[in-house]
Amino acid sequence: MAMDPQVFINTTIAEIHDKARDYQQKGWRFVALTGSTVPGGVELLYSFSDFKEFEQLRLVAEPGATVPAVSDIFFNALVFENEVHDLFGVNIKDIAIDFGGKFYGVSVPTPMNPQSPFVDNSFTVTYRDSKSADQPTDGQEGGN
Amino acid sequence: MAERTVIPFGPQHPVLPEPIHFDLVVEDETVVEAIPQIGFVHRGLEQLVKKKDYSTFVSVTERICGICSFGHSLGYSQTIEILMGIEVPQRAEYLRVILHELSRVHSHLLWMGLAADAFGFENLFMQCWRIRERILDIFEATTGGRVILSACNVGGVYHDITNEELKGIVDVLKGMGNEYSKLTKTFLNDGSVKSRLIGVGYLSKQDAIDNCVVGPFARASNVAEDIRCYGFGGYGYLSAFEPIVCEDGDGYGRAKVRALEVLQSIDIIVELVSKIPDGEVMVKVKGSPEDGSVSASRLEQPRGECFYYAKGNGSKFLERFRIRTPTAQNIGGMTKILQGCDIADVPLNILTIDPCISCTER
Amino acid sequence: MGSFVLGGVTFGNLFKKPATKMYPVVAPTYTAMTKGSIVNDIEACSLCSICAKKCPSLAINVDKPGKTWEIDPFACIQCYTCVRACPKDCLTMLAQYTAPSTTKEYKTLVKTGGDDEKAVAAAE
Repeated sequence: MAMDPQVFINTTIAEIHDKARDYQQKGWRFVALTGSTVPGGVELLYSFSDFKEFEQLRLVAEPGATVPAVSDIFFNALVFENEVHDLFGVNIKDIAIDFGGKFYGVSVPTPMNPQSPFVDNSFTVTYRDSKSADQPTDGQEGGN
Repeated sequence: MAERTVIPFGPQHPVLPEPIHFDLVVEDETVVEAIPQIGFVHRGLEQLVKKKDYSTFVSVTERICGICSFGHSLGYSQTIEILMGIEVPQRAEYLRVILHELSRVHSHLLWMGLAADAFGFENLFMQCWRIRERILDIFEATTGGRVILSACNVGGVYHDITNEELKGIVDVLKGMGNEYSKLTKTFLNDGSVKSRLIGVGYLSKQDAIDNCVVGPFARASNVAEDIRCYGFGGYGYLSAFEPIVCEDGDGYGRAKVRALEVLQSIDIIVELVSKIPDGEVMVKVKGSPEDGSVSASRLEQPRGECFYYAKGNGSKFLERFRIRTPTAQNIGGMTKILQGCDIADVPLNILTIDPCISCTER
Repeated sequence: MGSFVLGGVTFGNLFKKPATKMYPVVAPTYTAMTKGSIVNDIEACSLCSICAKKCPSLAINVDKPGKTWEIDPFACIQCYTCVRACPKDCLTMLAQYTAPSTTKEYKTLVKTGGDDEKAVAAAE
């Protein structure tokens, strides 16, 4: 069974704008920008595709770092750049349309970043106080 | 030079089916600029991956969208299978593609009905949905659910569909063909439909490439992009097929692409049913994704290419799971086609790209 | 041109049976696979609470000392997970949907033990 090629390339904040331009000049397409929290900050994953080819650029933005926007090259990236800014608190400079934190109507700042002081990580799902069902735990027998 | 006015449009508006907001900058009756805003129904489903283990999370992904429900469970399972290096039985792969293509047929019929409803063609709307009902009946008879199928999980599909049932599905689809061709004839040749769709929301090929739009929206602008044609997953067993493209680039082109894709999906199902091998449909999945393992995959949903990304941390819970839905990718193109259109055409322009904003806000 | 084709379809429909059903009067047809509601054969149940742990929507509560098994039928998402996970095969999926109700209540089954009569959860 053939599957998408798994190509993950590490890069840095300084290079990301030039690399994105290279992809555009090669005729590649912007697929997605994903934020995820890692121990030293927020990891940003830029995905590009050209038909069967599929590559991801990976960089880590430390707290306080400013990442250049790629939405001047790929206009549609503005959706994801505003999202990463609103949900993870990454500073992104020169977004094509910068909503300034108003793209998502969030009730607490940066809800998807656990380093945020506003996020309560002790929250667990319970439907009833008295007889709540057990949470699935790591040690459980898994699979289907 | 007319005076510029900003008209707020949405998220609650009589003609708008989805919760998206636009600031429309208008000059007289013409829109010069449209600024989109989403985030009204954000549900934070991606974060729920830390609370549900990877084999349970599939029921959450299925509920991201009501229309492409099976597609999301398939995309999720596919990504986790790459992450954990699981080989899926061949019969399961065939069944997945068959169910996914049936979802595409019902999604496109739903869109055709909604589009007909949007320009006031109630009769056509009812006819489209009447045909769509048969696909839902197939789903109910084979998997038990009409919309949320709960048929797919990491490792394969839960319930085997016997070869007799598959032949029955093909018979239903072929019986549908005659009625469907009458519908498409109406949809594509009727004067009132044409006068409402032709020239509305034009997107040139260059703009489509620049804005990275996906799905029928891109294919209607002559961009031959279809993940299915690259042979990933079960699509690899098909004989080579070409994406359906159209040079029109307007609303009529998008309707045409969707109408023809229904026929293409039926062809795919017929071909797969004739080739399907016997065997297991589910492998037992043991263990957890390794710490630091990552995987990314793409899937062609009815609305376009969907992107999935998963990251394991050694436990039964994933570290991060990400879905980029086709509509999120099409928002750039959507603002593009709104520029320069008439204010009365705005709802129809938004509708022709088949938006699913609630999908976009996982 | 297209209108005449659709006109033909519409005219034909006048002489056919309607595609819809008068729902409360005419009973809907369920297939053998239809996922309606979960029932538990409580006397066969060993109250192991695997179903409660596997349930994605946390709809099932099991109290082993109190010998009760309860389900919130409106939280249940009919995903089959508990039916597949059950080691005693005492859970089954009925084609009948949960009856509408004005209150959200748990359906509680008490295991009496040793009795022959079987309590079935379908009864309200």
